[in-house]
Amino acid sequence: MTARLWACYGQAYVSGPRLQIVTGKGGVGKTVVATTLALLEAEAGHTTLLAEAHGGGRVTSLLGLPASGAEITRVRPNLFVVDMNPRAAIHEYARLIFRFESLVNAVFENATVRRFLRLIPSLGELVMLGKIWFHEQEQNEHGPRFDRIILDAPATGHALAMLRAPSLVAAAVPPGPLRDITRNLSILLRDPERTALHLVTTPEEMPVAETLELLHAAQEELGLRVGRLFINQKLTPLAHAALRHLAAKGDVPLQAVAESLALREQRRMSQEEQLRALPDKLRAHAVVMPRLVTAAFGYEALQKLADQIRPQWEQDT
Amino acid sequence: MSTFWRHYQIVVCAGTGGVGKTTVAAAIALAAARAGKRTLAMTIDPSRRLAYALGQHTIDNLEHPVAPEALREAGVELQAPLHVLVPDVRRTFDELIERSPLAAARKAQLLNNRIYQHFSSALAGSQEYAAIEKLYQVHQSGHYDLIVLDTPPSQNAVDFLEAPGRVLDFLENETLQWLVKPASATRFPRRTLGVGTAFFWRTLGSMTGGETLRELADFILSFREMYDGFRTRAAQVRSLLRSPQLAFTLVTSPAENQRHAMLHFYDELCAQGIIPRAVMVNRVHPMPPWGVSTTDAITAATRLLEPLDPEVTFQIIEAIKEEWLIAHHDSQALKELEARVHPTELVALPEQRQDVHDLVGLAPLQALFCADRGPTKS
Repeated sequence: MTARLWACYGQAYVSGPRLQIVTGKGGVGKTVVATTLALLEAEAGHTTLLAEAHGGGRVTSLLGLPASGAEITRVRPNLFVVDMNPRAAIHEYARLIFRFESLVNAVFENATVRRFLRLIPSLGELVMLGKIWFHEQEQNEHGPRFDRIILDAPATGHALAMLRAPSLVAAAVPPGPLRDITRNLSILLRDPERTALHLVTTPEEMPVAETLELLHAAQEELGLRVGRLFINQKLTPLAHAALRHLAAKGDVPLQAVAESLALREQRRMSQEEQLRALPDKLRAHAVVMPRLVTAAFGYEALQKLADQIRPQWEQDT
Repeated sequence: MSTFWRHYQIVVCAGTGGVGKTTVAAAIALAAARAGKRTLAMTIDPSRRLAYALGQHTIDNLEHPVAPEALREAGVELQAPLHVLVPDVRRTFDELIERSPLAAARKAQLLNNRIYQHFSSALAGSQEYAAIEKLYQVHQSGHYDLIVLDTPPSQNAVDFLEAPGRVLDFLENETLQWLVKPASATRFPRRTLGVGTAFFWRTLGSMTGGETLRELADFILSFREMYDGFRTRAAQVRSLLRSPQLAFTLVTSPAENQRHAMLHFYDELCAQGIIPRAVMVNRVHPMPPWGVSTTDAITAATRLLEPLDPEVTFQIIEAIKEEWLIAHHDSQALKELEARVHPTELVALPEQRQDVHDLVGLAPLQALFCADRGPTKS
């Protein structure tokens, strides 16, 4: 299986995959990557849905927009966002099954029922993925409703729990509607033509270690195609000769400047060192995002990032 | 330097993911053991990074001493033993069942229940519950002067505090009582649900499959027999979380979204009557010690480098601006935070030259939590 998945790695994305899942360690910038990617895809003319799982409206706040909530909202040309949460997803699922809003409301407005549903483990995760599946194969008069669905998934541990939910539930529940959802999801997630998993990391030891864990779980256990690796907050190299010149020929303050820049170079080289732990194949197609220093990270910064990574994203994709 | 931990038996490090909770917890534990406190570092982080950082790779719900060789290598000398524990959610629940007064056959039935086997570690809040349960056990044992607990990343501090209560809710839930006693369902007042009983069953049944409901009910029924034990335990655990021997510390980074999330935690805890003892701001970039203004530094550097290579000059100037800007943002962030969380102690942990991921990397950080601030032997 691994060989087949690697064979897809770096292959053209022109006709898909429609579903692109973004995950990585907490704090590495998953939401920034997912949002930047969605902007790039939308600008390239693809109708894109950016779905946040447990995000709490981080996407819209990054874009400087009011919270969209659990309804699919168009925020820019070709770009739609949705902030999924288990409760709304379960409600929506029930609506799909029963079709009578009033009946569904009668049940769901009841606190006891809601509490009961919360107790069914993995149901929330499963139904959120189910919603993604629904939109992945949703058609309108022109064909598929969305060309791209970018899922801003939770951090590694919870993302794996989410991606494992279909097989976990399939093993635990007897045949029935829940089992059916798990089957559809397994087919979607394991199809390299339809789904890819993007990994986000910073060039540091622990995020890189988690990336390796994710890579292993994705390929060996979940049978997921790995899309691109995003290396966030990479320092740009400085000319060493210039630093030496500053230190040798400058006055005392300039020597101090040279020293702090030398420290920064030291950090950059340690970044390179950490990245060497990643498989060559993954690094070769990585999208490198430079560290951006801004007071507040908003739409402008995202646009700047999008412009910077566009050539790397379009190459090989 | 910050020595707030000296006054407590338990320090809980909380915060969102990726801010360095694990690193801070490990640094405090190391400092405490160096100062002669018998210390236990506990992590429920799903990726077990604290354990790795302390050179511990066995995850088995047991307390392990940190290897003396690893400590020697890192140049750290301890005055008291340091142990590491990674609670295992499934084992903690298994132990709870085994210790319960249930008949042996009933215990076996529960342990073999398909829902229990697949989901005991996936239940909402089970990870937090297992951590608190284990915390209570090791605290009761009296083997440690200080226990440092690294919590799982969460968006919500209250999730953690409420974990013991949530397990009770699970067992107390009136729907469940009704569900597991279908015979008495007729006595259940219709208006509690607002819809008919049959409709309720049909609805949930068509969403999950009827058989799933029955297995779940069986599981809950078995678990309910342990209810009294649970209730006593949860009350004890709950009071431990609020005892004056326990200090909460919140970990954050200078980044705007992380600070925002931390303050949300902070306010939630305060609303519960728990004032966090310290707020740790991790990876703060100190002001560059240039002795001149950034403008002057840029002018001087330009004069010196411009004749050599304009492109390289531009790159260096950009880097100088960045170094200053990042330190400036961080110091502004600290000022804002200090005013906001007063009188809680605010501790700034400077960005380290090297990535912190092992004992060697932890050494300079732990020094920030030592009263003497003495460097470790190296």
